[in-house]
Parts: sequence; C-alpha cells; structure tokens
Amino acid sequence: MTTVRTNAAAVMLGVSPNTLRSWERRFGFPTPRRTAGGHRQFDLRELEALRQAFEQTHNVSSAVRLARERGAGPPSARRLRSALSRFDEEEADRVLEESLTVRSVERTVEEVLLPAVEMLAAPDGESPTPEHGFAWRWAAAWMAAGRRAAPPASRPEPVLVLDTSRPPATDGLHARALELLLRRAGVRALCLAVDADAGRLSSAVGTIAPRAVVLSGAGASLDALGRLVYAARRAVSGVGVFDFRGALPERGAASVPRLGGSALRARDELIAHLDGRAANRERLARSAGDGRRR
Amino acid sequence: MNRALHAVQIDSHGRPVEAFCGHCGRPPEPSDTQPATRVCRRCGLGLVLQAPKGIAPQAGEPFLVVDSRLEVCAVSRKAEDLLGVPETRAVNRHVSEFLVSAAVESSKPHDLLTQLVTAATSEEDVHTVVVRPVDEFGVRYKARIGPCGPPRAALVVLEE
Repeated sequence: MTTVRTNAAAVMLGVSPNTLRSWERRFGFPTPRRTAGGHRQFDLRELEALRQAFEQTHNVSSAVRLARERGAGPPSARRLRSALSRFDEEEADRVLEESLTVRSVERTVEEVLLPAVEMLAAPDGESPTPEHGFAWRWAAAWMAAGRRAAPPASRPEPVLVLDTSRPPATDGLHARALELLLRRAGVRALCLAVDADAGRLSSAVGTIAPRAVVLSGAGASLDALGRLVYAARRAVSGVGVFDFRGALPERGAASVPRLGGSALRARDELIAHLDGRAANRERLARSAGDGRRR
Repeated sequence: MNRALHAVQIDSHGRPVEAFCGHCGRPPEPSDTQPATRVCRRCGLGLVLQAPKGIAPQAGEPFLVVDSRLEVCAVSRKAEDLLGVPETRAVNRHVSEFLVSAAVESSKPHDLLTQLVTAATSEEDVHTVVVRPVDEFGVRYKARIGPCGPPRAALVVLEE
C-alpha cells in the first residue's frame, strides 16, 4: 500500500490539512494509518478515489460515499472491519453485499465476515471493546438471516453443534458459521448453547437424536461435556462426536476426532462422516436382504 | 462609486451563470480564479456548483440538489435546519421523503417530480412550485427549480 503524509494528501485533493482532518472526524474517510510517531499516513488509492468522486458528485458527503464504494478496492475483511469499527451498519451491509457478488456465502463468511470480527477482538486478558461487541452481534444477526434463507434440509441425519463459548467469544461465531454452512449444504444442523441447564440439555440431545455431535468452543468443563456426549450416545448408537476449535484439551491419545479449524473444512469433514454412515447403512441393508433371500 | 470589472461566467447557451457552494451556498472566494479543486474553501463540506443567474441561491437561502433519479445529492446547511435532517442522512434518498408538492390547485400530483426531472435533464428555464415538508401541514415554501451542475442535476431553492 502506497501512503502519503497529511500535507501531501491535502495538496493532492486541493484542500487544507485542517479540512482533511475535519473529514476524518466527520465522515471517517479518508482513513489514515498512524506511524509509530503518531503521524497520519493516507492510502493513495483512497485519495485518488475521492479526487475522482469530486468530479461526479455535488458535495463532499456524496463523494466520500462513492469513494468508499469504489476506492477501497474489492470487499475485504479490512473494509468490513473499518465499517464495523465506526458502527456503520449500512456500510457493513454494503461490503457483504458486494462480497456476495464475487464470492459464495461460504467464502464470504470465511474470508470476510469472521476475520473482520476477529480483527476487532481485544487482546487476551483485556476487557472486550464496544466495537467488537457490536461487530459480534451484527455478524451473528447476519448469519441468522442467512440460516432463515437456507434451503430445506435434504438429508435426514441431524447434526448438533454444542457451543460452549459465551458472547462475544469468536468461537461462538465459528459455531454459528458451521451451523449456517451445514444448513446450506442441506444438513439438518442445530446449534445449542451449553450454558443451559445440564439435565434439560441432555434431554434435548436425546430428543434431537443427532447422528453427529460437534463440541465447539472452550467454555465448558470436561464433566459437562462428558455428560452431553453420554446422552447423545445413549440416544443414538454409533453417534459421531467431534471437537471443533478446541472444546477438549489437547491430549496425546484423544478419542474425539478434531475437525478442521475453519467452518468450511469442518463442514466437509462432517458431510464425509455422514456419507460414510449412509454408505454403511446401505451396505448393511443389502447384506441383510441377501441373508433373507438365502 | 468604485466598480471593478469582473469576468462573467456563461454556460454553453451563453447565459450568465453563478457559482456557489453546494453546502454553505456562498460563492467561491474571489481569489479562487483557477481553483485546484471543487471543494469549497470556506466550509470544506461542499463542492462548487454552477447555476444560471436567477436560480442560484442567494445568501442564506436554503436549497437542495436532486439528480435525475430524484435522489438527493446535496442539502445546504440552511436546508438541513429547515427540513430537520442532516445532509449525511438525506443524501441518496428519494426527494419525496423530504418534500412534496403543496399546490392543491394543481391537477397534476406529480408536478414537483416532473419539474425536477425536467430541470435535471434538459435546458428548460426556471420554474416555480409550491412545496411543503413531508408530514408537515400549514408550512409552504415557494421553490425555484432549475438546472445546476456539474454533474447535471436539479436545484431546488426554497424561498422562506
């Protein structure tokens, strides 16, 4: 990225440095980066986009809007992070809409949505920021809307994602992303939070009778997880239990297989598991039929 | 009386035009004979536009700029106060969300919109219509509508 300092940027746009700083305060654009010494560094692409937009609009506000749409380049996690850090829902919606014109929903979630929210997360040990909280809720709502628009399930086997994290943990968003991607693939997926009453949750697991259970996040005790896995295994014999993003502590000889770190890889591995089960069932049915004929 | 000579700008039809800022409404500073940018040096929030003499806003007159799709492109500082909406919220929204025709005697309900599209797309002369803010009754403004730009758009100057 080529950058210039405030004075050069002001000359490029034909305004005073003070005007440029006032736009930053009022519109949040152009958005300079800061050097270690605190000096502003403006992205040349943003400045050029703004300069061109001045020729096509009637005021600075419209020009900024136009430059944001065009000048910041293709929709990226960085652009979405910028919109979310300004609490600008309209712009965030627009970035994802633009992303959907060049990427699938799956890739938009993986390459734009989740990384943008992760960029806003406070470092470990620090209290969460309002920007991250807002971004988390906005992303969760976006994926909830995506779930409602998903096609009806075409596969009978339910998959249960047990989310042990608490908002606004990033793991919780990944669990929701996995649920969305599974549903879009025609799987009957359901994501439940593990902070509910343990007895009722075990009962719910029995009712759902999942073919695969995914333990996600790192917010529950081993004891609580063990009870849930027991409930799932009692409801359905041979249920697959998987770890997604480190729900279980790393051990040498873990009996619970770990899914890929991304929701997309995890979805593919789960579908492969379900396909394997379906193939097994068909093989068993065929051999049973052969036995009866004999 | 000291009367200095000054250049009169004209449009492609030879009509005299006036320059004004799309936000504060003031003319550019006299020293800006060949400005490097269209950004108003006085307020830093508007771009310098031109309109035929007679339609361009005079000092303190509230106005809006509307494009041929009838979307608001600019709102002057005075019009922000008058309509109770900041420019950043009004831009890119349909003009009928802010202004409607108040000419009850008119048989054409879309008079205002027709005038705006005409002004934004052709070289018609200035027209005057009576308008009122949406959802406000008892308040009426006479509005001058004419072309402005660049880029080409309709200028609505509200006469209080």
